[in-house]
Amino acid sequence: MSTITTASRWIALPTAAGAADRARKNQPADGALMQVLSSNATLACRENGLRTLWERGPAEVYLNTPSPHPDQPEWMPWNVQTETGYLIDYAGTHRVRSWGETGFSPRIVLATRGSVSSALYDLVIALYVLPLAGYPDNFTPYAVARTNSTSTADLVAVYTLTPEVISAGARHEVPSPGTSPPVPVTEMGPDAAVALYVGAYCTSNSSGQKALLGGLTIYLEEPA
Amino acid sequence: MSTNQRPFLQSPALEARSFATGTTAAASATATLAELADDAATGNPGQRMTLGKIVNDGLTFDRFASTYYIAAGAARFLRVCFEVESAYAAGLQTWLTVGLAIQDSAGNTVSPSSTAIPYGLKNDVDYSAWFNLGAAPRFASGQRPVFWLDVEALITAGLVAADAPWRFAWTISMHDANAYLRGLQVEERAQFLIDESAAFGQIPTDYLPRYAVVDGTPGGMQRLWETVRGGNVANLRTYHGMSRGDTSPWLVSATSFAPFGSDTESTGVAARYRVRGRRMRGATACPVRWCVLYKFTGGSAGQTATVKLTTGTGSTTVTVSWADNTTWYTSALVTGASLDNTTTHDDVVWSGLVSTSGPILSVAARYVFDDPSP
Repeated sequence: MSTITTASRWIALPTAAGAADRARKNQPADGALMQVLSSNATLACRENGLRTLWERGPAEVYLNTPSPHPDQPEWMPWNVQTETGYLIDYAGTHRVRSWGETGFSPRIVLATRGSVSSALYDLVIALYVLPLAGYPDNFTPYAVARTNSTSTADLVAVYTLTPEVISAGARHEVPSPGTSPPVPVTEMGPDAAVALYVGAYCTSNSSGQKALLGGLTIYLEEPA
Repeated sequence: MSTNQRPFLQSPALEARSFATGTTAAASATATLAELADDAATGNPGQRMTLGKIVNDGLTFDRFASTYYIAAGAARFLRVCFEVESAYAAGLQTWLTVGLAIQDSAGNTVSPSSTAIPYGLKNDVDYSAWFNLGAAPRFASGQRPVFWLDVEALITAGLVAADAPWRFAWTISMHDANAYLRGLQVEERAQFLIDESAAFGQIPTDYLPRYAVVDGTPGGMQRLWETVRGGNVANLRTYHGMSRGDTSPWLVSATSFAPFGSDTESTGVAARYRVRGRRMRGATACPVRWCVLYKFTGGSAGQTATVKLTTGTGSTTVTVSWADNTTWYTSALVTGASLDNTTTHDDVVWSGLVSTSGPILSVAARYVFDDPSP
């Protein structure tokens, strides 16, 4: 049986700590006030976890994944000397949590726009997700999007996080500012993170047939 | 003042019927609401700052870049992490140092020598990277040191939260042409310690079974709405936060609005950066504010330049006047912009112009933040 936890819309109340604050001192609490507060708080827990994680400016790509594995995103050459011709980047390690009270995991979206010089070729972008920073290999899970459009088209790769991936990225970090004199540790606790890597290639495999990539963004969005 | 250590982060499910009229109030429901309010206010802080790959040209080995932050109270600690890598192909060692100075919009500054800046961010530690061709992929070759910045300590050191935004000025000093910074990331840390001396926060034990509900100052019921409200007004997203080194800024010299050079998705068409606005009021547009770091060169007194941010709801601009040819300035924090929430996402698009032909407007950082209404 589904239950109602939020109206999915922020409900304004008179200013906090003001004379009309519905939760001010000696003000009787009523059921309606509590319902509004819990609805607002639940909505904030859902929405606040969804945010932009990373962005990067436009690029040109023209190299294919190396032979004998052309056009296979799992074979992106992460150890190449030069990144010219590919787009290979580390998009940071980011805290992730379940979507509010639901227990469902958010989706990670890699969005950009791009075009190829000829419809014979594909421009491919891929988002690789690791529980810890390191480097992807051909076993790293990924989400992919491709286009062979010669006019600029949307490219959106969506990776659905799972509780297993989130829990694998658990970290117990203790904020201890390395200042002088040292300050006592005041709080600690576990959270979870994922490390994100971005790759892009073009099956033309020719610097004379370059594909154009626009601005890239990675953000979290609500579960499907 | 009481504190409460949250053992882990959770958003408890609290059904609306728990507070239905005619239902007997239960301590468990209000204590759960306290936990939920804390999580809304401090459990998902959303600001972050990022730098992409920063290299040098083999001639000048120091690079400077800036990022922006608004101290709104949702997070006390900022987690700083960067990755050092090397372009050497044969296992040779190289290294770099990182320094951080922070300045608020009123000019108050915390320098790297301040006690509020941790060791390792004072240009004081060489962080090394190795690369061994064919063995260790470069992405795994470098160090990834982690630091913590204490926002309260920064305020004690002289910064003012209300003087937003704070400019984080990073200095990356590279040993040689083969050292480079893969990326730098600053992320707000969720709070595990709820403290009644802070602006908001709920202590769940204020709502114990068979005890009177605490209604004191400043704890208990009185801070319930204030805490929940913090989940909206103090939790800011950094919707867009791009920075480039001071030697490779975005440039514009057109006298009508045009994309910045190297920020186009095709010839003459500005790149679009997709974002998802926070949906606190359904399809109502999400209000945002923004700023840029700019330098206006080759101009003279009376000349101006304008930067425009275009989203699905319209465009907003900031116009700056020429002052000198060398100084980087932070623009005003532009309000009145918003993100379209009638669809699943919106796009952020930048353009600029100069008032007369000749001068060049350089932009080295562009930031878009939440600007929530209460």
